[in-house]
Amino acid sequence: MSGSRLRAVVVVCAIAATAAMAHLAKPTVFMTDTLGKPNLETVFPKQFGTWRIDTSMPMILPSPDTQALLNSIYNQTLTRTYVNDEGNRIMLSVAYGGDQSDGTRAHLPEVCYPAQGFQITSNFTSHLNLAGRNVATRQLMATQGLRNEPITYWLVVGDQVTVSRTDQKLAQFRLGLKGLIPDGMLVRVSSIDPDMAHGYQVQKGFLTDMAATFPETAKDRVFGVKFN
Amino acid sequence: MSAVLARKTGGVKRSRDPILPSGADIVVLGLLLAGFALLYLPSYLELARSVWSTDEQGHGPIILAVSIWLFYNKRLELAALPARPVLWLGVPILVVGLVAYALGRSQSFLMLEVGSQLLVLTALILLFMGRGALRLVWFLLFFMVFMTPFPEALVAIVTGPLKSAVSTVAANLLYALGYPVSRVGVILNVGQYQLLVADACAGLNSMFTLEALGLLYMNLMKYTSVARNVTLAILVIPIAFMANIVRVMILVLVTYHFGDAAGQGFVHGFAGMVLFIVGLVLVLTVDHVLGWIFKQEKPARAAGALS
Repeated sequence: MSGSRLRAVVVVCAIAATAAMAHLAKPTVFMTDTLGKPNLETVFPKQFGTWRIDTSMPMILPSPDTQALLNSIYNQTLTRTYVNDEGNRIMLSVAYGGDQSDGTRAHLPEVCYPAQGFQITSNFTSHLNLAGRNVATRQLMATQGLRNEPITYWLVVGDQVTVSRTDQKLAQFRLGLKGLIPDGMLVRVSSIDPDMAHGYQVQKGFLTDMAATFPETAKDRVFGVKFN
Repeated sequence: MSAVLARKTGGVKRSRDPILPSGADIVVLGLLLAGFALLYLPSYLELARSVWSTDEQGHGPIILAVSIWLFYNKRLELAALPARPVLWLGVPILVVGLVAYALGRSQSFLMLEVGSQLLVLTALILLFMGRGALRLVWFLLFFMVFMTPFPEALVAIVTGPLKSAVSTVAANLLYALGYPVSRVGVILNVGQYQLLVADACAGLNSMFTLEALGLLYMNLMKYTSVARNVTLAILVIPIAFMANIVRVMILVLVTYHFGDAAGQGFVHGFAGMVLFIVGLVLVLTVDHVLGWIFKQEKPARAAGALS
């Protein structure tokens, strides 16, 4: 009888130690506080290469309940449509959140597009050379009826570009164990184009031109820190 | 007379045993309960503040409450078992469970944090009661798997095809009944209305909830035939699927006949109830049919069974 009591005391001590450790290891420093909040409106150039903001198209705003969800997850969102001299249109959508822990982390497009009634017919990862960095990207093809929308996106968690939920989680762990709470920026470009390869080429040109005129100080936040 | 008396004392005993009967060490039990509460009470509060209030994980508190109740019901049987601790197995499981908890809790990874309770519980049972007790409550531990928040990616992989299938069948059935329904992906057009079959409406999580309730039902019925239990557990999956179709059809019909406001208003929540009522009725019906099939097996099995 006393043997089991002794065991119980040992187990409870182990439990108490674990609980204390978990509490102490909880990251407390928001990266968004140390790095400063980016101002998406000014960080992303309004005009570069042959691209400029398209003012002819009326902006389609999300429905009120979608907007409520967006506001609860993200601190800042930016939605713009650009057009170039050839008449190609690109939609840029950026979302920034200061806390990438479970409840408030960025939602990935392959989850939100289907939630809005789209079907993802193609989904693979790729790389783009942007701002001197090898940026991992994910390519999606979303379709809904006659609308075909090729998408290129990546997500920066803290200082690292991630393109999957697992990457996102691992990046959060890596920074979290250093006591940091990473912020997150989801950069997504898409266009209306039934030809995915063509759409991707236009998006690649758009992103390359945009990265070339990017302010040096904002590059790490948007394209990830260069790892050598 | 003596039979009546025995029965009476039995009845009295049953009505007043909130605390474990003789043989239970209250100090040990108290320590372990306090330890468990120290770990998981904050987790439950966290869950209550975040995911439990969403449609996707709304079944979490129900499963927690049912688990506690099931545990409580087993307490006399557990106390009656001779204690045969298995330290060599219990200690490593406890260590893994605690590490998972520390990582999950500190890095706010709910799946790891909540999932670790299965390991910690298993370890505690092995350390203080032994394998016999684990056999007695294995179902309970399995039941608690359903309150773990699963990763979205996994949920999305299963939900996507499920949603398409539910929308397709619902649209085809309604069309066959003469309603002006057309479907593009998971968007249903009925009359002048457009409905989106949302994740929560046809999701994996409603399947989980129904599967969990099916398992609970089986456990309460205490069937001794393994084949019967397994058959029922597998049949719950198509049952949940059908219940989802009925739910979507009800929403489409309500929207068509009474307008968009009705379809999105209280009827939406009501359709959720319908999902469970349809599921439950189907489970009962299927179980009744299974009763005929497994009739012959029952006595033979019961003789060999322990309980």
